[in-house]
Amino acid sequence: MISLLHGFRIFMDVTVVFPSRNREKYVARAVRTAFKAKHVHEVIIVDGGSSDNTVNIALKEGAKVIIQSNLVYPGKGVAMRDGAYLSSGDIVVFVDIDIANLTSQFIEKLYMPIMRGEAEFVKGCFERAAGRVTELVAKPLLRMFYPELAKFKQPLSGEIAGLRKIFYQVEFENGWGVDVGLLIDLYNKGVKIIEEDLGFKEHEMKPLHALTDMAYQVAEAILKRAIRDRKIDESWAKRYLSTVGEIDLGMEGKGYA
Amino acid sequence: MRSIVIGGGHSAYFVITTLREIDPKGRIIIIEFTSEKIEMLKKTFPYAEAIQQSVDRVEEYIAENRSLIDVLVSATDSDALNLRYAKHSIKNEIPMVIAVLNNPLNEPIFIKENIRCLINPYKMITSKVKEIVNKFSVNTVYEFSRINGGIYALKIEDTRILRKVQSFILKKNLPFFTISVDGKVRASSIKNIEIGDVVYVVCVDKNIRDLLEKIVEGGK
Repeated sequence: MISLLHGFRIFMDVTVVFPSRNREKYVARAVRTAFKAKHVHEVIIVDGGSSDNTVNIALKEGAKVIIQSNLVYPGKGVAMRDGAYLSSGDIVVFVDIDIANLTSQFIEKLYMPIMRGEAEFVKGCFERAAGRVTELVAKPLLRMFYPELAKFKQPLSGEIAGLRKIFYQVEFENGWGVDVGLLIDLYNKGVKIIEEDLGFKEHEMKPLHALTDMAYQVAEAILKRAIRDRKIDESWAKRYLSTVGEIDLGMEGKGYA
Repeated sequence: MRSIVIGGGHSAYFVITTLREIDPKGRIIIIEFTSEKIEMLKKTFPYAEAIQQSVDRVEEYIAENRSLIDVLVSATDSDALNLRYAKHSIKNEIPMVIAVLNNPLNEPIFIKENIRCLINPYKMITSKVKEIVNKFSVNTVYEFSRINGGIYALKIEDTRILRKVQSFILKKNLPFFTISVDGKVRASSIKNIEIGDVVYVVCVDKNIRDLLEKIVEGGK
């Protein structure tokens, strides 16, 4: 519940959402850390069909649990959408569950700019250099079609926070394109967005071969929006991309033509 | 009957057409989130009212119209929303609240939240695969919504299973009937059950689990 306290600062309830799958090693610590952050009243684990003890541990730690509605791979976007839909906080924070150095301050840093009224959506970034898909796919494409978003150091970062209501105004991509998709769509809606440096993030790196699907889906999410926003001619794109192979531009029945 | 169906997708289609079949004169209101779908719903279901609501206004709508609703079915493509709306509707004392699951794994979570009227469209996949592939299994033919019981089908594969099933039915005095390999329905006499028959028995699910433990080592 939003309440006015001393001065002009507004305090809001915060929900922290962790998408997860087979993360029993991390879940207890992640939930406890999230509950320690100021104003966090709810922690949600959106499980992607774990076969280990992730769900039971999460419940024991007092988290709300839901299994993601559609067990597709990669279902990151489905999980994030379910998390946003189940949450009751004024602010929703999404954090990777397997951050080895996760602290409550790390989570607070994400949503504090919203509490201070400086932003409605916060994208987290880290000290380390941005990843390979970010540098080789996301940034060049953003520079081409959405140059105003090219200033973001890590546009694919999954550590984000936003007013709950803004997540109900946009569609979530199912897979890896979800983060950049949200960034573009929220920017188009006129949402006030900032990037917040969260410091150092200790996180497992994906092997190069595992990045092919991710790169494809990120490119697809950006190109689909570029067509929708009439930055690319649709008939040209369809003709050109038909040589690439099957690509779902999501244009059917969406009234983009 | 006044019904509200939340969602305008695949599951909702079957819910709406069934509600119409049950009560052709009943009022059906469909709540959908996107304007494109609203137009499509108006064309597909001309007898229903399709209204657009944002995700976070649905609860308000339910609360405001609670006295006018007999049945509420939450059939969106998100189990998170179905859980949220069903919980809210129960809290608002809607007489009948039904949730349609997208992911069968969410069934225990919904039950824990006291959402008893659950439709799990994927349950049939499990029982059908077992029926086709497994040597012995119990298939759930029908599950009662309000008690943990149902109508279960058991295939009599051999003499050992035949004896166990006969003794189970006799001991519990359960109603049953059998269907033979050639599709004939047999009288309900224990002695008439033969190898190859499928026995349909009505009981609580605990009985079935006990029987399975006796037949299959470690249960199934």
